Formats: sequence, structure tokens, C-alpha cells
Amino acid sequence: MSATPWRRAAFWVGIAVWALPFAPLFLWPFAGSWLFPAPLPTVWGDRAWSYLLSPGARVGPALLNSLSLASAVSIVAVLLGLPAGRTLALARLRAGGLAYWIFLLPAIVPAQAAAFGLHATFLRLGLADQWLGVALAHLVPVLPYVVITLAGVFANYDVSYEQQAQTLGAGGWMRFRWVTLPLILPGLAVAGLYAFLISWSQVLLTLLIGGGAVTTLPMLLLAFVNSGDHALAAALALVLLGPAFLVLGLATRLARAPGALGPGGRIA
Amino acid sequence: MTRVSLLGVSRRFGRTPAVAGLSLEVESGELAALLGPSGCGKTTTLRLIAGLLKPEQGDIHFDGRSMAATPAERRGAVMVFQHPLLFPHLNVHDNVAFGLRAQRVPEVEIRRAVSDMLERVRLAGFERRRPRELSGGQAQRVALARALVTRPRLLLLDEPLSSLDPHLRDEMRALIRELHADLGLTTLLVTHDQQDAALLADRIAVLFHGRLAQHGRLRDLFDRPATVEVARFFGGVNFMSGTLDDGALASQLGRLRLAEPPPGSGPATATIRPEAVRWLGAGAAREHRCNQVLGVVERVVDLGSFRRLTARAGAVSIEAHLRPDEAAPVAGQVGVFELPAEHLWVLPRGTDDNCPTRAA
Repeated sequence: MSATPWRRAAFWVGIAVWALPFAPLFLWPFAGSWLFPAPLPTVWGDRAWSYLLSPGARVGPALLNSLSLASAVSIVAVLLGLPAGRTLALARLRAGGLAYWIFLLPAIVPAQAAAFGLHATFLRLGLADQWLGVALAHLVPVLPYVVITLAGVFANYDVSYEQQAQTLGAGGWMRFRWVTLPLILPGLAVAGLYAFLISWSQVLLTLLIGGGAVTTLPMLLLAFVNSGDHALAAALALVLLGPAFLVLGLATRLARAPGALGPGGRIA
Repeated sequence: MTRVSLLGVSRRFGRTPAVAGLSLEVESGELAALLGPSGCGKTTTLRLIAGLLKPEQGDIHFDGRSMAATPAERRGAVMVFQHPLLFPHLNVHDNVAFGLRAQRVPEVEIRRAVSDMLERVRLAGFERRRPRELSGGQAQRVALARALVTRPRLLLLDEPLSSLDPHLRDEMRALIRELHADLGLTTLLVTHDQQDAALLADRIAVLFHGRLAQHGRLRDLFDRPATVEVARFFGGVNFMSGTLDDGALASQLGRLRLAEPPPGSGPATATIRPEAVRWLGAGAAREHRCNQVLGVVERVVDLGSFRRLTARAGAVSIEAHLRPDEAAPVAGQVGVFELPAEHLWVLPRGTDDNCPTRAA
């Protein structure tokens, strides 16, 4: 009993230690001037925002690129990952363990290592400096997480539900739409979330394959951080957070679908 | 109503044959049971009929038409599995409606058919419940309703009772019988439980090692088993080998007269149900008559509804089940057993040539 106030104190200290470093992120964007010893900005202002919103900052096209890349990469990765994850988990492959590690490999080896070879190949194919080339390159670090997540979902999946539906007269599409999809939806949402966030935060790959022709938000952020303009960098970081949290919220909602199989194979 | 014919169907898993050259007829409207120990290929047979597996050899006919090119979803053979497999994201109504929606039946008709079927399985008013809000017995009844509401050509039950508590099993058996009588669907029940088969099925097909060992009524399987394995499966323990000769079996126990001697002669094995063996009383002095055997009692165990007596006559062990009110000997006594001619049965196929029998 006497431990409770201590525990409560420890909890708030923990929260403070975790949250305080983020505080400047929310203060800087609204700072006109903030010199070192001052605990709060000395002058408040909207300089950062008015610059970000100006056409010269090119935040709009970058946001569009980032959103379209992350969305397209998520969808393609999930579409490719579904059959791959299912086969890895359900078909008793003779070299199943090996296949699993091969799928995992791009997550272990930094994608940048592969980027140079990829760039050379894409140059020959005319994919370098293109949105499509960047999207394809993003699939390299994204796919392992999607495939492994979905393999985890299918590891706890009971094919009997589909067979039951089939003997009840359901064809392939009806089985997928009304049986398989609802059962794996939470796991699918988590896999999609991973895909979106990994693509969303790519900088080097985008830079190397896109050659600067395809600008995304993290690239702008990198530029602002390098320039030492804290207000601009913090403001853009907030912009970067928005869609990420939106997707996280959406995935969490889907993951709570009643009666479906989560990534841990738990029936919710 | 559909007549099902299996014509020399074979299916292996890897190198292991699960079903080997199985031929079987299930009459239209019949409730037939596939009975056998686990691993005998009965569930594989059901999946082959449903179309969830393809036979490697042989063919399956519904009403004389080959089903080889018909996928499972168009066979109208609905399976009810051991576990209810209710779709967890759908409520009871939508679960039962699933098959009708697959057939694109209008929603108005679906609602009527579903509530009618739920009433038949005594679950009226459960439409809005989620599967996780149902007990095991209720869930299995919903699964049955979901299968029956589609009016399938064929109902395939894969051990639907084995996951239920004993009192629920009785209820479910009664329900299956009742629905079968009402709807007259050709029904195939897979079970490893003799009681399920006896209480539900008109005829029983006994499977061993993916082959049909015997197909018939329970009485025949008990009294006239085709092989040692079938006899053993139904609790047969007494086997006497010898030579057939002039309507009698010259065996290790002497000459045993047969009420129904099979034609021909040569080596043969006879069996007798333990409840048909009679204990005539102690004493070696009794005159040696036809079909009477002198034996040493080894053990007498009271099992409540009967007493089990094991005895040894030379190299042969004899088991007899005595009614509790019959006089029973004690271990060590020597006495006379009678193996009545009308209960001795010569196994027509002796031991199965394709499978080793366990040691006696």
C-alpha cells in the first residue's frame, strides 16, 4: 500500500523523462527567437509556418510524393506479402526455414548497401530519378516486414474455415472476401502500417534512386536540419508526424475488428 | 437425395496411402457411418467426397455422375467438422445464412429459412448472438443448421460429436436422427465411436488402413465379422484356428461343430463373442461333449453389468462374459466351457493379408 505514492511518482518521472525531450519539437515551430539559456522561446512567431506554406518551400509536392509513395508501396507490399506469407506459414516447404531467412535478409542488410547496384540497374531500365523507381526501391526494405508479419498471422490461421465455406458453396472470391479477409484483417492492418511507416521514413534510398528529382518530406527535413534552422525543422517534423499518426490510428481500429485474428494469432 | 458411389478411390499423403482402392455405395437417403480407428482414412474419405481432396485413382459418383471435374463449392456436399468453425466475425444469423448467400437466394427467403432452421435445432431467438457467446453444444447446433439450411445433396459429418460432453452427445445424436428423418438427406457420418455409429447409422462401413473391411448392419459386424481386425474392433477376443472339414473346425480345442459351416475346406479361423461363451461349472470329471472345452480359470473381474472371465485351454485363451446372476468360478479352478455351435463364426477372409494383426 505504501508503495503506491512512490509508484505514482515513479510513473510521472518516467513520463517526464520520456516526454520532455519532445517538448522543443512542439515549441520550436512557434518560436521567433529562442536563445540558449532561456527555458522558453523569448519571441513567439509564425515564421516557420509561413515559410512552409509558401510555394517556394515545395512542401506540398513533397507531401504528395511521400503520401503517394507510402500508400502505393503499402498496397503493393501487402498484395505481394499475402501469398508469400501464407505459403511460408501454411505450405510445408522443404526449405521453409531457408526461404524465411531469404525473405528476412533485406531487413538485416541495410537497403542502402543494395541501393548502388539497384541504381545502376534502374539507370539502364530508365527507372532512376522516377517516382516508380523510388517506389520499387522502397519495396526492398518494406517487404521483409510485411511478409514476416503476414507469415505470423497465417501461422495461427485455420484453413478449415475456408474449407467449411467452400463446402457451403462459396467460390474463391467469396471465400476470400467473407472468410479469409475478415479473419486476417488486423494482421493485414499491422503489416500495412509497417509498410507505410517504413516507406514514409525512407531518406537515403529516395535520395539515391530518386537522384533529387523525387522530393519527399524526410528529404526536406534532412535539408532543414542540416541548415541548422530549428524552427523550420521542428515545424516540418510536426507535418511529418500527422499522417503517420493517422495511419497508426486507422490500423489500430482495424486491428480491433471483432473475432478476427491478430498478428499474435489471438482471437480478439 | 443422392446416391454416392466410390469406385476404387485411392489417395496418398506423401508415401503413406490414406485411402487405398476404396469402393463403397451409400444409398439415397441413407444415414451411413464410416467407422474405424484414427488414421484409418475415414476423414480423408469424407474430404474426397466433399471435393476438398482429389483422388489419385478411382472416381466418385453422385447419382451415377462423375464428380471428378466438379469443385467442392458446386457439389452440394456440405461438411460439418469436428469443431463448429462458426465464422467468428458473423453473428448466428449470418453464419447460418452463409451458404444461402453463396447460392444468391433473396434475403427475404434467407431470413425465413434461417429462422425456421434455427427453430429446428432449438435455437430460435439466437440470431443476433456472436459465436463466442455460445456454448459448445449450441455452436455445434448452429454449424448443423448452417449445413442443413442449404438443403445439400449430401450431408457429411466429420466426428461432430467428439468434442461434446456426454450429455450433449445424446442430445445431438437425437437431433441428427430427427433431422435425418425429417429431411431425408443422404448423410455420411465419420466416427471412431461404435456407439455413435450404432445409434445413428442404418449401415456401417468399417475402414482399416484405408480399405473397406466390412460394410453392413451392426449386428452383422458383431456376429459375423469379416476379418480378425473387425472382430477385435467390436470387442472380439476369442479366436481359434484350425482346419475346416465336413461342417466342423478341427482346432487346437478339438473338434468344434459349426451351425453355419462355410463351403469348402482348408485352414480357417473361427471366433465367438465372449458373451456367447458359457461356463458349465467346475470339475474335470464331466464328460467331454461336442463344443465343450476344459480350461483353467485365470482371472474373474466384476465389471458391474457383467463378469469377465479369462481362462486358458492349452495354448488358447478364452474369454467369457457372464451375467452377474450366473454362478462364476474363482481363479485357479478347472472347468468346462461351452462354445455353442450357433455362435461360432468362421471368418470368411481370415486375417487381412495387407495388414499385420496385433499379437493376441
